[in-house]
Amino acid sequence: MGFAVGGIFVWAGILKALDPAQFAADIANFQLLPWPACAALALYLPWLEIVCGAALILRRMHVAAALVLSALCVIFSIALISAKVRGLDIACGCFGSGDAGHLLRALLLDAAILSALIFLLVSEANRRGEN
Amino acid sequence: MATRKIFRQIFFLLVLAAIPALGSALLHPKRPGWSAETLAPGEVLLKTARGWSADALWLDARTAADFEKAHIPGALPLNEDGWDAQLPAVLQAWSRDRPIVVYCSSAGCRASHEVVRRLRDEAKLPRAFVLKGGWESWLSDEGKK
Repeated sequence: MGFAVGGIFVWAGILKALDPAQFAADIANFQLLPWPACAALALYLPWLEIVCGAALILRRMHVAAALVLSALCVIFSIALISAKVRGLDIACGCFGSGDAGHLLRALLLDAAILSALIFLLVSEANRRGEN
Repeated sequence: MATRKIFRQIFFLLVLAAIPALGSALLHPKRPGWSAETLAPGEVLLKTARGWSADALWLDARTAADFEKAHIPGALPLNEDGWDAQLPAVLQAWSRDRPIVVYCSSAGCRASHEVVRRLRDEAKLPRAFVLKGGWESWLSDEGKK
């Protein structure tokens, strides 16, 4: 499970890291942050996904990585819901440029990934509890 | 103790990701500009649009006469007056992976904003943007070459 979830984040991160200008525009479309913050996030978030995804795959610092990625998923869900509530019809940019995924689909995917991360964290807690 | 260790690891991961991010900020050919703080919602810089990996579909929201005089190569006309007649050609040229960039004459014109609004609301094309500075910014950029 860790391998699959980590792989998704590494893949999504690579796609966004290839075109940070497009990702910045996608973030700006949410109309939540000023442009410099969008630009900074567009440069940083893809690499955070790649680093944490790789940590999940390699099972090195994987609990910390799962916590960081869970926080990202929660923040992203809030941004998606906020966009939906404000009636914005925008591309989520979840998987880099060219991803014109619908917000509702993105929200469902985000919820599924967050569930998998929580499952990983609970499994790890149980495993540590048994030892 | 374990909690402290996890917090240390989180900090390490956050810092580790910052290193390549810094490299991207300095060297990436498609890095976003920092000076776009005056962008209105839905606007995009010419440099940004040109850097997109998928070729943008350029739409000219100026009058038909202005379009006839000169336009961005490959651009299609789409303005309020000719909306119903021009939209089918736009939809035919558009594909799901192509962002749309609409321009009018200058930074002060509103026609491109209105066309983008209608593309998003009525044609359900969410990846439509207004070219900041419009046709003037294109001419200015071409003049620098």
